[in-house]
Amino acid sequence: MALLEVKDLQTTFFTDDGAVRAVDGVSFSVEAGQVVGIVGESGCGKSVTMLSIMRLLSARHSATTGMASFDGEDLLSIPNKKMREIRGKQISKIFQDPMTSLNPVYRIGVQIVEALRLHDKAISRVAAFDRAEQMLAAVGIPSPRERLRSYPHELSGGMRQRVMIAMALINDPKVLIADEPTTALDVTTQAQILELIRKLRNEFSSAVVFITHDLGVVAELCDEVVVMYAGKVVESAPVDEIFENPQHPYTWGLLGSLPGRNLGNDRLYSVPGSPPSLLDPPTGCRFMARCAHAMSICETEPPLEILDHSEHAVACHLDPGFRTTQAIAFRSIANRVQEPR
Amino acid sequence: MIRYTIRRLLWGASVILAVTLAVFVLFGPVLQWKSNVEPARIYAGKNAQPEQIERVSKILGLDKPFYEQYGIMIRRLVLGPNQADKERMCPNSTEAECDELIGHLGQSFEKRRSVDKLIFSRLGVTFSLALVGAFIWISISIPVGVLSALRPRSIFDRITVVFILIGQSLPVYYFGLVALYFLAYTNKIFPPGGYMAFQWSEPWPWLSHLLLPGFTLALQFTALYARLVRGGMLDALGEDYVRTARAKGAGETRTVFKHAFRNALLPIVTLFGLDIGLLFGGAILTEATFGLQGIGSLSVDAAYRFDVPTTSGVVLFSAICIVVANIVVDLLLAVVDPRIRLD
Ligand SMILES: Nc1ncnc2c1ncn2[C@@H]1O[C@H](COP(=O)(O)OP(=O)(O)OP(=O)(O)O)[C@@H](O)[C@H]1O
Ligand SMILES: [Mg+2]
Repeated sequence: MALLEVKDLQTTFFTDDGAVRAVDGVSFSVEAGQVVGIVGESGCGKSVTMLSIMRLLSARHSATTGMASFDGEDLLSIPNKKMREIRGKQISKIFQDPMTSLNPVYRIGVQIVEALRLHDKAISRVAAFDRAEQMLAAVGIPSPRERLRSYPHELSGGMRQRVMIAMALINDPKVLIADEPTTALDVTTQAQILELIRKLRNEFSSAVVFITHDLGVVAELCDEVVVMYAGKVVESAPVDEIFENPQHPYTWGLLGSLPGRNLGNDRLYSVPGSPPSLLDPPTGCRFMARCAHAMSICETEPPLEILDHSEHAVACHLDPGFRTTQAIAFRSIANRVQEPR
Repeated sequence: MIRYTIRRLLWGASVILAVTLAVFVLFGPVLQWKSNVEPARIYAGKNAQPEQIERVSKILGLDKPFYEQYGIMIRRLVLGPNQADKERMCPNSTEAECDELIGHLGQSFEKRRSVDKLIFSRLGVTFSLALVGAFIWISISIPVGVLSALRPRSIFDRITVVFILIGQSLPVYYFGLVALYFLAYTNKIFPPGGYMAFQWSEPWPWLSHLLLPGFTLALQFTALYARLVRGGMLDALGEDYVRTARAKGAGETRTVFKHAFRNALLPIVTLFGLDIGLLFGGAILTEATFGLQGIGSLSVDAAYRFDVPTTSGVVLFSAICIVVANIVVDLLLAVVDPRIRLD
């Protein structure tokens, strides 16, 4: 069994306008040591999926059903205390915005050490701070001893994200969830942080769930890819398969929008239209309204949901033969016009 | 931190200087020009002869040009009355007697006493009232605000919101009088007014005289602070760093108090400093309702009787209280909130 296995996860927010099912039947799995990328455009439910798994959403405003088993235990049903022991120790998280994710009134060192001591009551203060210093050094922060005494506002965004990474990895978790860890940073810093994550991947044994908009990053970093659309998984496959043999029309759209895969015109290709409202999602395939190949069945029947992730899986009504010819055609176009923009 | 402290102190000094100028202009030139009030005439009494008024005018230094009067006022405020002042104001008295008659803030027309001493004699009442009130409103509003933020839209929260509205709209004198009627007259639980000085051996008389006024004074503050704490906590609980704390495995208590509360408290501390500073300058309505002889009632009496030095003295004193409270709070905040020290 996989280290982290999510099955038919559904998360509903109770809003003033009605119930919003932000995650609707998501399944995927993460093997130990693997890097799984979750891609999809803004609002498709990537963050909510991971927050649901860690039970970090307010129970008063949302409800999650389904299964999320981690190391044989269902995260959605274990008691709070047990969940707290897993958070930060077995499963850690790096958030999107390092500017707001650290508490402004505590020193960096205190915040890192907190992560350590919450799970290791026996460790002495001195040892904990030494460990924090090592971690800061490991994530490439110069003069780590002094930095322990800094406050978050004294560090740049990139440095703060390094601190967040140090904090997330200090307990050597089995799973690290990185929710768009570079989106809020400038381009140079993004590259540095990605480089750091790549390097740490080799030093730490953690599996990584990497949430991103950027398929370029996926290609470099991930083993498996899960493509989400409007609260559902539309395609999931090993990374090479996604790039060599993409099967879902939405994935084609995403790949088309990759810089360097510019399809001939000057403008970046992007999927036309916008995702459906989750307050009142369409009955059939959710991508239909934007799909160039939609058929009548797409309007009435939702495609079969992906449950088995052992191989390349896709949720689409299109004929597999047709999809494969499309994929081949797509790849040949994409490869032909791979000029730098 | 040292530079920050110095900057705050300089800022405070310049604010106080500005206030002295405003006070001088308002109680000197403006008063005489707009309403034909001559301080010398008031000082000299109703049926004074013109010569008497002129003599009084000399004694008070009112015959001098305004800029010189202002200079004298500032010098006296900082250094205390000098020999010339003393010779004018208390010619035939000993040093000790003279100290009773004139101080840094001058001499009261009405009471022929040093304004410093007048204010000083009222400090105990006013400070006690402010402190008891503050203790009450802080110890009610913070738990209430935090609890209702933890369970927004719960029954507790809704009841709190209603009480906040009531508390904020009830006038002090109304609540005070009702409280007096039920708790001091019909049921003689509390004394019906007045003040007893604090004594270590027996603090109860002091406290019993201050509980009703303290609650009355605290009512609106409790409502306001509960609302602010609730809002601040709701905001803080929605912050990313709170989610980070939870993601680290922190328990609910730790998350709420160590991470959210400390941040939510920062704006409250600022406001608290200002309010306490303001109250040290006298709580006029509460003092009047409960017959407390504090700085608030001193200023009202003085204003009624055109006692210019006392009125302006109280105004200056209040301003100084507010400025000092402000500086104390700023320095305190700089200790609690590391972001402030830089700018
Ligand atoms: N607290 C909430 N209450 C109501 N709806 C919410 C809440 N949080 C998220 N949503 C909705 O859930 C959907 C998925 O949001 P989510 O944050 O998971 O998107 P995402 O894929 O992470 O997007 P992004 O790439 O912009 O981070 C969105 O449509 C959003 O409107
Ligand atoms: Mg997100």
